[in-house]
Amino acid sequence: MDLFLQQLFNGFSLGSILLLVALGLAFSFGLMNVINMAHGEMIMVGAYSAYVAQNWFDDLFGAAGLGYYFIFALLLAFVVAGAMGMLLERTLIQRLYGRPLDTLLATWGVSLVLQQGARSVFGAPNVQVTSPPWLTGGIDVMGDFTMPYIRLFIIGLVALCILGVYLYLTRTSAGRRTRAVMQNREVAGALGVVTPKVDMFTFGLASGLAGVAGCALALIGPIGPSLGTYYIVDAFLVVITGGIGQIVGTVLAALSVGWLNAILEYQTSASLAKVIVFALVIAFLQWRPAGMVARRNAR
Amino acid sequence: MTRLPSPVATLLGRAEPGPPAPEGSILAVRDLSIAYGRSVVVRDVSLQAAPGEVVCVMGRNGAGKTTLLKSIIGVLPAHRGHVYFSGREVTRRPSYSRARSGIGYVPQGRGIFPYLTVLENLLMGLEPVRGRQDGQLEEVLALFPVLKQMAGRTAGVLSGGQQQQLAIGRALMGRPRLLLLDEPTEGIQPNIVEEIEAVIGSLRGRMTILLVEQFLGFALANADMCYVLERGSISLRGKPTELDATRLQEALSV
Repeated sequence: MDLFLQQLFNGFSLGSILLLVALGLAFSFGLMNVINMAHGEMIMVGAYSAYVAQNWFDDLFGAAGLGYYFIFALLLAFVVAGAMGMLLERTLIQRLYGRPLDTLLATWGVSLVLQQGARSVFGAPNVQVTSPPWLTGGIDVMGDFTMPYIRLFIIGLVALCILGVYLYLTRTSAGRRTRAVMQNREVAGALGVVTPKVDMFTFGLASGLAGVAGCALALIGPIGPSLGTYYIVDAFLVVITGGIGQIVGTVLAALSVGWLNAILEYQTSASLAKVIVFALVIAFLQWRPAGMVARRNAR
Repeated sequence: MTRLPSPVATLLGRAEPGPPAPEGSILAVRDLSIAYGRSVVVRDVSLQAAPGEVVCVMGRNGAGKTTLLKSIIGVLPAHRGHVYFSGREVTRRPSYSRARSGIGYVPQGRGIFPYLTVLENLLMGLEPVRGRQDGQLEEVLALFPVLKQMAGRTAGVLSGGQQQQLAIGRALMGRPRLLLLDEPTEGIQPNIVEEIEAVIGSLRGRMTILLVEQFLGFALANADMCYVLERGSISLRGKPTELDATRLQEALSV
């Protein structure tokens, strides 16, 4: 029972990271109908940002820096991944607008380049960051079931990000513009919305969120050049299950997939769990091809 | 002598400038052709509108009216020809830039944002004035009181007529100098049609209006100038009083 609860909790925290990644994917798909294969590499960029930030703080402040580097790392991850996303949108994706298959292929190429780039800069072996001291330990709930501070922190971080994105979308004029472009790009442009700018910033935001997710992942596992590829598959799974371009559906699907994974891993094995999750998703999509939350097309 | 555009100009999307803008008009379209792929839908259309004028474009379904409007606002690229607004050529400019220079657009089928609230839809109309508001919202809500009651509702739940009022109100939020109206009374219940027509009538003189209409009566009563499109070309033009009624019937009847 303790172990089951532990798995459930871990599944929840993994699901929350997945959510952050999937949210970014859902954005770029909902806004531009772009399937961004390089999205996973933004996770990797975020994770390496944590590593770089740790080394900087170590050089500058010695052991004392260890307590604070992570806050800076989160910002760095968001900014660096966001900037790379904007650059990618400006230089590549924008030019392939309306050609989804070409975009798919081109961004996949970018993803390979980025992975190799990371290998050249940081080396092929995995690296690791040390968690800040204030994140070690956890809350003992009962028996063997503890809630590690790191995982609680990640859940809180994701909740904060989701809240931020929600407020941005619903309470700011930039967010309103983004939603308008998602609902009817042609009319939004004809009303004076500078759609290329909206595209660029939304893409940057999506990539930045993936960067933050990567930064969080650095706390619970090793960082390697192909870190992103592991999570991106699940993230795509979440986006499709949730209903393409659906924010609420994405949230539901991320938690479902995260939990399902955790529970099944506990009952069976890691690889069998993956098989079952895939099978369940396929069955679900047979039943509801549009995903959990389907929206009739506005156009 | 024609000069070929330099490769750089072509790359930047700045094609050879056309002849200078015609004097005294706020909107001028010169020899405009528009194509979907290889099929030319609008061919060599020229029209113009002076400040404050109401210009009406009529024609059967599929004659190219909507295509023409879309190309004036910049949603569809021109295949050949030129569009001038306010003395400047805008043919190669993106739609947002045209909207920001003072063109309001009410698309066919209304084109409201269904998952934004009525108020949010109206606020989207402020883009051309960079979000600045000085009384437009009150003016628009006074013109269309029903929008005030519905302000917090999701726009998608509005009736067709209310959505049309919303679309017009949204375009007016940006204080346009030119208003493009694409069949504002299409498929709308008669009593709302009257309301909308009254509002359009009240805008007369305050801005230039380019109206695409199938209803002859309203067009003839309100327009300063009429153009009739047939299979993508202008077949008839003139002041409503001067138009040959039999010829007009012929051009518009199905």
